[in-house]
Amino acid sequence: MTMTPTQALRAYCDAFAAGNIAAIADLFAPDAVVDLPLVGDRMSGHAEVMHEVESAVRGLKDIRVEIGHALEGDNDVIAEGAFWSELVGAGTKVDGTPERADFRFVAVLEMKDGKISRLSEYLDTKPVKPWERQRIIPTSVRRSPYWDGSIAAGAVEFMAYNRTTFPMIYSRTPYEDYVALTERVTMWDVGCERQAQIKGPDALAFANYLVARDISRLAVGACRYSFVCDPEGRILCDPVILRPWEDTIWLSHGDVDLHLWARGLATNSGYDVEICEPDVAPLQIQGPLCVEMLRPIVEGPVDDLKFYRCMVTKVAGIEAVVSRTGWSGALGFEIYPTSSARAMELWNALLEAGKPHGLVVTGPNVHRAVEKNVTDTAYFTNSDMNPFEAGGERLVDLDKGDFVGREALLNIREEGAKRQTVGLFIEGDLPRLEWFWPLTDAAGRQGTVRWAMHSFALDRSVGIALVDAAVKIGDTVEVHHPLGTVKAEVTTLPFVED
Amino acid sequence: MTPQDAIALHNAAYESRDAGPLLDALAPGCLYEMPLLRSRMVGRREIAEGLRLAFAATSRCTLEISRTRQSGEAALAEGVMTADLVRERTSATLPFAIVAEVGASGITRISLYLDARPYRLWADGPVMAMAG
Repeated sequence: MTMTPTQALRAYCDAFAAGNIAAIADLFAPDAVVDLPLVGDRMSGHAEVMHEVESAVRGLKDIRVEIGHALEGDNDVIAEGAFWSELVGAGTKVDGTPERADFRFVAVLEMKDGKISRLSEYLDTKPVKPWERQRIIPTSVRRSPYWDGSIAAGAVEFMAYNRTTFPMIYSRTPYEDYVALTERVTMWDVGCERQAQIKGPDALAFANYLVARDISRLAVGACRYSFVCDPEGRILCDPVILRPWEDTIWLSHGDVDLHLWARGLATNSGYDVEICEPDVAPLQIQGPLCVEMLRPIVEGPVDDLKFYRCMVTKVAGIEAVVSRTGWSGALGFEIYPTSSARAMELWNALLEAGKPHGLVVTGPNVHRAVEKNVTDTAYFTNSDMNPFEAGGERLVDLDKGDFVGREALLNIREEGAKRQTVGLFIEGDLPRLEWFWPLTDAAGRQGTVRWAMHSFALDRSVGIALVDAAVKIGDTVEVHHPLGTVKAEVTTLPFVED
Repeated sequence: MTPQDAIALHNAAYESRDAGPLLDALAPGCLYEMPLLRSRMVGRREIAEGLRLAFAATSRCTLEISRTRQSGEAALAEGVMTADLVRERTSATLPFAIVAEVGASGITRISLYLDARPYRLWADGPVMAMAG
C-alpha cells in the first residue's frame, strides 16, 4: 500500500529514532534530495542521502522524535516537530549530564511514486554547542591568520595554543567529523602550530644538540619526529623536525615556548645560528582523499612525496613548504605558507579544491588521535615524563654525542623507567577530560589518565595513561574521573592499526 | 482571520517595518518565538519590543513564501527572507519556515524557524532578548 506523505514522514522519524537504516533506505527515491536550508547542506541521490543519514544516526543515541502539526497537500506535507537525542562521544558536562542535540524543527516532505523525493529540514544543531564568543579569549592571544575562515566554517570552541587561537570544535557531532577524516578529507586551522626556526651554518648541528634523536644526517627535504628534553631528561615537547632548505631547520612544535628555549641555549654557545619564530602558520589537510584534493593546486609532485618528507613549492601560487606529516596517524599533509600575508587566499583556494572531494573544515580529531596513539605536547608535559616512560625509546639516540638531557637519560635507561605509557579500555561513557584523571592500580600505586575518549572504531571508551612500570597488560585499574570511579583494563597501543 | 492571514500579517510587518497591524491581531498571551535562536516573547508588549529590535537590525526586508499549508487553526510555510543588514552593511538571504496558530481571540502563536547567526546578527545572543 502506498504511504501518504504524513505516513512517510512518521515512518522516517520512527526509523531514525530506532536507528533502522534499512527502513530509512527503503523510504527514499533513487533521486531523492535532502537539504538542511538553515545549515546549508544538501544531499542528492540515494547513496549520498544514506551516507549522511547513517553518519547522523551513528553520532546520536536515545533518539526521540515527535511530530505536532502535519499539514498535507496532494504529494507533500509540512510538519512541525521536536527532536531529542544524546551525542555519542562528546563526553558529558561537568555535572554528568550528557551533551545533547535537542531542537525543534519544521520538515517539508514531497513524495513521488510512493517514495520520498525531497525532504527539507529546517533545523540546526548549533543551539547544543557553546555559543560563539562564549569562551573569552584574552587579547594576549593572537588570532590565527585563518580566523575568518574558521568562523565562517562554524568554529564554536577554541583553545589558546602557543598564544594563538586554535579552533577545536565546529557545529557538528564528533562522529560527523570522524567520518570526514577517515573517509574523505579535512582541513584544520593549525596556525597555532609554531616553528622554532634555526638558521645558519650550524643549524643542523645545533638542532641535533637540541633534540634527543640523531638528526646529524638529516637531508634537505627530510623530516623526523623526536623529543626535546630538559637537562633532567624530562620532555619539553615532541616536535616534527623539517629541513626545507640547506641552512634552515624548523622544529614544528606543540604548546611550548620552544624558540625561546632554543635561543637561550644558543646564546654564547659557540653555534653560528639565528633563531626566531617566523610568520609561518600551517594548515593540515588530512584524510584519504587528500592527494586527489591537493594534486591540482600544489605545483610540486605531491603524489611522490613520501611519508616524513617535505618540499618547497607553491600551493595555489603561494610559496609554501608541504610535508607529508600530520596528526591523524594516516594519510595527510601539512602546508606551511612561508608568510601569512596571503593566508585567507590560501585557505579559500584549498576550500575550493576540496569541494569535489567533500572537504570538511574540522579541528584536530582527538578521537582518531587516541585510537592511533598520536599524542601531543600536552600529553607529556606537567608530568615529569621522560621519553622512556612515554614509550618513545626509538626516538632517543644516546650514542649520537652530546645533547640536552643525554646524561640524565643515560641514567634513566640504566636504572629502568619507573613508569610506562599504556592503553586503557575504560568502563562506561566518560565525561570530557578537561584535566588528567588519577588512577589506582591493584597494588594501590598511582597513575594518571592523560587522554580519554570514545573510540568510534571500537565503539567503547578508551584512554592513554601513565602507570607504574610494574603494571601488566591485562591488569585491571581504577580510574577516578569527575563522575566517579570506574574500572579499566590495561592494554597495548595503538588501539587501531592501519 | 485564517492562519495563512496571520503569516501574511507577520511578513507584511517585516516588509513595512510597521508592527501595528500584526500587534493588533495578536491574542492576549500570544507566543512569538524563534526556536533556533532561543528567542521567546509572550504578549503584545514583549513582542512589540522584540520586533523593534529586529527591525533595527535590518534596513530592508522581504519575506517570500514558496509553499504553505493550512488546517483550521494552524498554517505552516517555508520561504526565504532577504534583508539588508545594518551591522554588516551587506544583504543576507535566509531560508526560513514559519508556523502560525490562530484562535477565537486572534493569533496565539508564531514560530519563526530562522537562523541568522551565520550573518552575525544574533551571534552574541538572542536579539529579541527580553525587553525590560
